[in-house]
Amino acid sequence: MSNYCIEPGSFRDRNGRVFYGEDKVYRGLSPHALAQWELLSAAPFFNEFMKKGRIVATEMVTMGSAHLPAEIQAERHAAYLRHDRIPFISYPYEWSFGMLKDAAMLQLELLLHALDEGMILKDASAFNFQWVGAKPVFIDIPSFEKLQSGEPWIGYRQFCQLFLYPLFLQAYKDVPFHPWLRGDIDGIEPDQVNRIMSLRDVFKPGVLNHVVLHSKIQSRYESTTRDIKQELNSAGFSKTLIRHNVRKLLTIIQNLKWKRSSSEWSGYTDTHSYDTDDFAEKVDFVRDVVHSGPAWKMVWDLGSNTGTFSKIAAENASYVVAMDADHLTIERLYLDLRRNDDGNILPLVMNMNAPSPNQGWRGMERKSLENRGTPNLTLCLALIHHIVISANIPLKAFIEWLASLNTHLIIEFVSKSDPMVQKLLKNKVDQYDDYDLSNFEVCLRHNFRLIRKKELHSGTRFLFYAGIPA
Amino acid sequence: MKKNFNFGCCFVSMMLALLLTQPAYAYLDAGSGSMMLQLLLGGFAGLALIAKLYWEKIRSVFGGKKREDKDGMPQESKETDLTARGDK
Repeated sequence: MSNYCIEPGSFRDRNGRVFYGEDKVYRGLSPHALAQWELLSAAPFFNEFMKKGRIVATEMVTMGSAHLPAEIQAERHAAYLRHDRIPFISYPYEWSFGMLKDAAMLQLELLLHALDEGMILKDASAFNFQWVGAKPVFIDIPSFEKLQSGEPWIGYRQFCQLFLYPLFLQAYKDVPFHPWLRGDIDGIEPDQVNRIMSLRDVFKPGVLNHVVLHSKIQSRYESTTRDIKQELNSAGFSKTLIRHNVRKLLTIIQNLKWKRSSSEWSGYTDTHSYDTDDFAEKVDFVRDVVHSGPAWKMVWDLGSNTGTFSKIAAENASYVVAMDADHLTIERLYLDLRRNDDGNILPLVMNMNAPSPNQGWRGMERKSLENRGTPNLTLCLALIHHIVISANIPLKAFIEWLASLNTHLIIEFVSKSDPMVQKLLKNKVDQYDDYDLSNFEVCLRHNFRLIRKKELHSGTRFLFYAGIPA
Repeated sequence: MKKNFNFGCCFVSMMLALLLTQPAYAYLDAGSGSMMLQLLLGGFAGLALIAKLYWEKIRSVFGGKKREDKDGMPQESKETDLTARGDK
């Protein structure tokens, strides 16, 4: 009897196949991958980083093949690895600048340590990282291989395309990297980023070498038929060159700053409720619900803003995913969480009116938001007016989507008489006949089991706590 | 620091000039440039390898147009040129 299920998106790497079972992640290894694992598991740096939680907890296990799915058995793996599960999967196009930067630095640090112990990371994809709270974790164990003498760093270009250039885009041009990384699975190419950089940018750290030169050299060599790898090998390419390059890259990335996040944001308080009594009542309401029973396994805070309510939810939850469409907001939340070493809140840049879709080959390689696991409790505070009035999504449709998550719900209805909604309607024709309290309540009752309702002090906002229908 | 930066810039321009004088071939090979670039990014060890790989080319850049070995006379005068520069 097979209790395992195969990861449909795991097929590109012929050396290992991912499948799930018993709340763990399993990986079948080819003989080649097994040989690399034997080296890796004995390497001091690997165990050190694993103990610190920077590499996902991994061990080799024996599997009674009779229990495995037929497809896995047919692949005749030489051995199996078992990893701890990441609480909630996320992708680089959902991370803030600081998150991508910290993952990049971890990538380079792992590479340096591996080089010192005769190994290397064969690729440098940002998708090899996940998060546990505000801490990056490296998950792609088969990426570690024995260092072949004379071989250059094969992952360098990928590092540029998926880490360095997106970071440059944000730090040097203040252009968000998310749409780009979401749109192109391979990241930004040297000639693309080169065309974006101006003459002034050429003097910024890393641009001349890793962008301009990279672009020129790539065009120069794109049509070569020479075996460059062999030539470099014969000439005596050594890991000294890789180390030098990686150390320089580490310095460049360490010094990258996203200016807007380091300066005071005067518009910060605009997103808070105008009425402070409302806010206090909201805090009490949410806290009551959060502590009303045993710990929630998974909480989603949609439109998390400063993260106040995510933190309240985290008081009695195994894991909270805080989502907001505003990159700067999530960056601030991330820096705050990183400082305070919180382990159970994951901040993500996510536009709730168009959350991440399924992507890649047959939509299998990157999962849509809902496909990664649904919440037990969802907070939807000060969000609905943005969804309906700004994004033009019908009220009924949004509530039905929330119901499809099979979650308990705390939702705030912000009426048209509220100053925030007035602001949204200012430059629009009010075509939102569905947007009123009674219609809202009807939709809610139709899709959920209403447990509690509260009108806030201002009289323009209403809180509801609803459960899954019986 | 400024001195290193200036030296770095000169060197880089030199390398650019070197690379752009090479003939282009007709077939696509994506990672080759990225691998070659690592020579430039490899510090002193990288420079040493560049020198090794491109010795003839470097010589011709500094010593004027490269001539055939058969012409004894032009070859000698080339050597004289290098010596003259060295004296300065």
